[in-house]
Amino acid sequence: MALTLRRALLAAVPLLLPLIAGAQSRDITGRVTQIGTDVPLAEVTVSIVGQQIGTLTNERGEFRLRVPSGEVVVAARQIGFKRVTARVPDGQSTVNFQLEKDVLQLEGVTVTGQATSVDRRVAATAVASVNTAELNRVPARSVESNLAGKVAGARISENSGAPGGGAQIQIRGATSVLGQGDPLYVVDGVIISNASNSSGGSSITRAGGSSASTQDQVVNRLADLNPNDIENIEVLKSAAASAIYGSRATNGVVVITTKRGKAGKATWNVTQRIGTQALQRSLSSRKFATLADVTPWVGGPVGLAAATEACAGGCPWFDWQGDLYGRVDPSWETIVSASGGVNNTRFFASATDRQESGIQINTGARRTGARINLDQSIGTRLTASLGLDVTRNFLQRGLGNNDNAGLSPTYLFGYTPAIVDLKTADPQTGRYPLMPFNGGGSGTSNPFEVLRRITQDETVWRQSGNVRLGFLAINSARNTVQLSYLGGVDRFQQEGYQYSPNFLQFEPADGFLGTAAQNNISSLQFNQGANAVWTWTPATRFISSITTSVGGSYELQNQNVYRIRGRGLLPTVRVPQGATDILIANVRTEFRDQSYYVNEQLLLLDEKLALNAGVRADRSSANGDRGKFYSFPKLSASYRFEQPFFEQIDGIKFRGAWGQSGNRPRFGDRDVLYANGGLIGGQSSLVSAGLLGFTDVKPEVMNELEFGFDASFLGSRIGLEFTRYQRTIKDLLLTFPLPPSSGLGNQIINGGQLAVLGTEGVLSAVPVRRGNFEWTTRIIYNANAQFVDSIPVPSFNVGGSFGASYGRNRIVQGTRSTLIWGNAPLAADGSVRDTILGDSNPVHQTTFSNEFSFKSFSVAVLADWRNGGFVSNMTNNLFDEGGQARDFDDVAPDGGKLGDFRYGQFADGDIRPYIQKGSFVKIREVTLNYQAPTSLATRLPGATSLRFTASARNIALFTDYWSFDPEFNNFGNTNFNRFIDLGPFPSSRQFFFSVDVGF
Amino acid sequence: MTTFNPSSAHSVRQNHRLARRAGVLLLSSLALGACSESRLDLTNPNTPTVAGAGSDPQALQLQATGLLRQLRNGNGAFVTSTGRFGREAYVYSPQEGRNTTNYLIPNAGANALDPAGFASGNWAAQYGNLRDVFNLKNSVTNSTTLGEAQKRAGLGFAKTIEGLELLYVISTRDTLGAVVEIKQNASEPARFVSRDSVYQYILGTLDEAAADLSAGGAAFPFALHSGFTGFTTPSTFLSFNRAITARAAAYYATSGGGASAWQKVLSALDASFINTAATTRAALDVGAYHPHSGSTGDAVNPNNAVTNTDLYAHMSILADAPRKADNSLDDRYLAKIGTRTARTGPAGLSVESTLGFDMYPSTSSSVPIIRNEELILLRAEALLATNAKANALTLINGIRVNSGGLAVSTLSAASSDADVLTELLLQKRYSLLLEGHRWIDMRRYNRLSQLPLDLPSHFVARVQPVPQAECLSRAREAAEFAGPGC
Repeated sequence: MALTLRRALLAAVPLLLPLIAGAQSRDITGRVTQIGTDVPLAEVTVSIVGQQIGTLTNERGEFRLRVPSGEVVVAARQIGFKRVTARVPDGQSTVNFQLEKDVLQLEGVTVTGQATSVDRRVAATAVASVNTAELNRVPARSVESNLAGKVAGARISENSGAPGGGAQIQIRGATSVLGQGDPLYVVDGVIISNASNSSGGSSITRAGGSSASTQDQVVNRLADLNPNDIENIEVLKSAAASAIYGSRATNGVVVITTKRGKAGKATWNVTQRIGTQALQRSLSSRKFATLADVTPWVGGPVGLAAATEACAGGCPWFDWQGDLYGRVDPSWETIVSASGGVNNTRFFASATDRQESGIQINTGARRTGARINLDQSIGTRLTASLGLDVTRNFLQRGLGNNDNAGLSPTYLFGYTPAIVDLKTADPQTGRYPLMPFNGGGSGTSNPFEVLRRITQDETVWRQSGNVRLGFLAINSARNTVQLSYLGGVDRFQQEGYQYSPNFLQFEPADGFLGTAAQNNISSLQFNQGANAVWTWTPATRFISSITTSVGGSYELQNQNVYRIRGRGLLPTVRVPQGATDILIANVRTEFRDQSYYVNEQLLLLDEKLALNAGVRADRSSANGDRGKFYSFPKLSASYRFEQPFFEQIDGIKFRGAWGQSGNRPRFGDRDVLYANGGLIGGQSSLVSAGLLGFTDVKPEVMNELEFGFDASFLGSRIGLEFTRYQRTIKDLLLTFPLPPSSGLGNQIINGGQLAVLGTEGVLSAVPVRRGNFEWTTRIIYNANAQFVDSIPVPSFNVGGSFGASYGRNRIVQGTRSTLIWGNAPLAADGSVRDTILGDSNPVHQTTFSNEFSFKSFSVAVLADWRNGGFVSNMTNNLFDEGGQARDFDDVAPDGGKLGDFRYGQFADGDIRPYIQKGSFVKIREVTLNYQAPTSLATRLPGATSLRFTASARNIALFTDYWSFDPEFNNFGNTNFNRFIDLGPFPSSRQFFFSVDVGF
Repeated sequence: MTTFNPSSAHSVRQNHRLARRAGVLLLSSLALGACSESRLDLTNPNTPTVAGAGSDPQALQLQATGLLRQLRNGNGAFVTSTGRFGREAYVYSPQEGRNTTNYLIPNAGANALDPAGFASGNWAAQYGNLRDVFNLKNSVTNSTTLGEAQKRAGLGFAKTIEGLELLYVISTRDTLGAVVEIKQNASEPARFVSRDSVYQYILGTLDEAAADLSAGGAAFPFALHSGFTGFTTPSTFLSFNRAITARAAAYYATSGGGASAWQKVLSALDASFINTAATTRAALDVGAYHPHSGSTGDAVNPNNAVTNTDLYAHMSILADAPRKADNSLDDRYLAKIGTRTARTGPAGLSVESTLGFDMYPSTSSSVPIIRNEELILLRAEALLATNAKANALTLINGIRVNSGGLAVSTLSAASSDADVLTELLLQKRYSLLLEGHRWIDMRRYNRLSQLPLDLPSHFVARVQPVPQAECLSRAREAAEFAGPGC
């Protein structure tokens, strides 16, 4: 017993905050276990309620806590479990706790400042937090997809089915037209880049621009993050919550915390996964009976000859999509992690290697990385932490989306009858048949050959690191002052390489044979901050604690993009150098920001009333006035009633919050620029740029009001959260058309107002808990409406669309910003006009998450229901124009063919057949988990635990939508126009089998 | 309820001390987060900033070249649009019928030409260069490195380009008037002023430029491109300035300027590079030019005969061409007009042409800004208007013989003024074919009705409309800022 106690002390000592030495104190010891099982719980915080004094349990669940004399109230808490408090009278020296799983997520802490947090149960803003278990139930391409359906108010959409990522998180609607639309991502205090940079696909596909475009299936760099390293993700949604990040926070902040070492003997965990994938749904294509049927769609004499030969005995049909998107090669992932701590040092280390195979031939993604997190106590007052992460992400994403060179397979299949075999190469030459249709010349191609011969590699090396120092400057019974410093670096080097050999069918089209392109993006972000937190704990009934924090930060973000494209390659040459036609592009951007903040957090009336007030002041190199601080205040309050009205109501907390956050201008918005006028007579020249920068440009400002309640019923069997928010965004960045007689075209201005009104609800429940069987369910609902309240400029189309003939968002005063405008014969006289044809914003999005556990088995299913949200289905349009839609021959309302009917209507200026409803129900995650008994696990030498998991992602999609997936977007991550489906890389089902072994 | 609540004086003092210490720590940590404002002061590395260019010694040269580059940018569209109005040219692009219909077929209502259509040009490009003129004038004035004479030379250059660009604007808008002022704050609209005021402003600006050039010393503080060979010093550039002044004064003379303006034409010509003794093509072609090339970053001649296959000539150019004594065609016609594959505009909305322009045989052919032949004709015009008909005829005959290879005119001092003017305008038409004169000259002498209409549905526009974007941006302003036709 003595030995055990000593070990317990040993484990606890470095974590024990120094106590005031005094004669009037005593020790309390005890043990913490999980209710019903007697399994000891380590790392449980045991503390006196309302005090800073606390300790952690050791791996046997034991603790020792020094407390003042007299009666004290002691609490035991850990994330994932409900807290338990116990009253310990003066004479008592032992107390044991039994904790119950926190199904309703009532526990945990939520971020309230750069260096402060508060218990979730007293948080005054809506809290959305996802822990590692919930996050990593089913592997995903990128962490956004892991989050999909798990955060109320965050809409998460994949841009395509290409391997390796590419997804968007939009929190509570679009807050900007021209400015940044992505949330801010913070990993262990380091602001990381989520930049989306093309790796140069357009240099071959000519989808947009001459070397790069947003249409190139671009990956946002969150894809480099290893989700398995994540302990917890907290999404700060409201301005009151995100105001602590000042002028980069209107789109919300995603705070990611990685795993850290736990005291005690090192534990190892090895996970091995193997998986495969399959096309989610094929668009299929039209089946032709006779040559006469197919003749109108062969696209020229070459096609006619091919069709004549193919249809000699009735036209065959080849499953091109099935073959091209039918790759089932194994995907695999190996994760090794270790965690432990000795003396004053704790560590967490992990290494991962993940290979995802794409369904399209020759596609895939491989992410390899390692992380180490160290925590060191130096003496009793100083702590130092270090985190390092190195990742290599290698992506081969194949072809998809828009294309102007006849390459993108889905696009091409819309114009080419599937009556010839394209997939079989000539065994002698290795060449594939030329595509005879769609002109049959260099404007088209055989995707089976193209995908095997072209190279489209994206290689990313990413390093990030953080250093944290904490110093407990003052530590008394009533006062503590904690000083801290945090510095973080996030760096990546993205290399995009494109190569298309000179002999491919499409190569002559641009006048040059062979293309090679080198695209490099180097990014460096750095942030540092210093904080001081003073907590005063008078421990009176009225004031539980008052926490004052102040601090400042400095941040910089550099990005350098350089691209070289060469067309017309000499034989065997695979670099742009020496090419006939060389194009160079280089753009550098740099931001530097600085801030101060003050924050005041009050816990009053026995921790029932929480008040939080603060202000952050920011200045930035992106603003017109670089010296000026813009301040972003916040104010929030909550009051918790315990067992009001009926005893069935455990507790209900009402909360209200108001806050302001900002969105800083883009790089260069402040600059009045010259343009390169070009040469004349051999001389270079400077001329005025058409777009005039705004020397007084300032951040967009969002005001948000949020109200809600969190309630718990029937002994925590049912939990209900409800939130209503209203946000208005002022001083929008807009372009103002100048009088042409000024000599300039447009000017950047601040002005106008957007608004979002929305509702979020979460219902959690444990409907059944009987013996070893437990069913837990969670329903997350969100809906919002987004408005253009006013704009000081004429109505305009948001960039990144294909215009009125295909539908796009328009910013029109007094309308919803998410409406799709396009051509339809809806003018009073029946003529075609550009008008409202639908709303791209869903009526609501609701997810249903259910978990069933029985003994060692558990099953979890996440279903996502999007109701409404219209899509511009240009893929359908392609297949109708080319006569290849699978339902082309169905009977149309006018008695003719459906394909002719739809396209005929479109050709007459009515695009409504292709503005289609995008409602769906998607089974995003299914997982079956078996925790093997210890007796089985220990048969492996050294093993202590063993788990088997079978899981699947996107296993089913129920929708009337015509194309692959209504979630996809040709233009990638965008603030608006996120509904353009144009020949994307199709979606896939992914299946995994995992074995986890703990040592 | 808490059981430990020591409230001794000692503890209170300690608490106060701790609170003070806490406060000091909080404040000192703020200082840690501080950084100096200069750290936030970054310069855009991608594109030159107006602020940054001011201190760059190379910027003045680049800005000056920018004016000439912009001047050239506006020229291609100026000659093809005025060419279409003046029945010299068609732009028969196969995919875009509006290149024809927007110029030749009137809309019902107040605006015969669509203010948002294709024929609303010759506005933004010219004002774009006027903004650059404004910037160059500021750069020169505020320069700390230029001497006084260099500043005057720079200003003289800038103001000459200013006068020329405004002349392009007012010659296409005529009675609508125009805007002459460039405001520092681009979002603040400048008022429209009358045609008379615009001409006075142009002539005043050109005269100021002349005074500046006269005081401009021996050299410009920048080099002019090869198209200005012969005009590369302030004193020689002055002769270019006077040539432009003569054109502007002649336009003003027929737009209300009257006799004094005609005198201005004569005096300006005297100080210009006019050479009435010119007998060769080369001597007639002496002047200032826009050079073109196919170099990366440069622009090819937009109306060259090789790559611009959509530009066609009006068939009346053949029908009206003067004939030599042996009935063969005028040399100018032969040099400038060639045959093309027949093409027409939108079906039923235009007529076929088989003629094209050959005066720019290559993509790098230079385009005249103003040349001696025009100056001789301007002097003839001014002499005719100032009752020196015989002298005018002498000059007209010189052009007939030396430029057209024709016999001298049968007209004499006894012929009517109108007949002599008709002859003068005919010579001007062929001498300055597709150089942006025909439509403007016919309007100046109220002869637009004499321009041929290919189809009954066609009309001859009198002026180009003010672009809709200009009107819309003024719709938000007080009434006095409204433009004509808006």
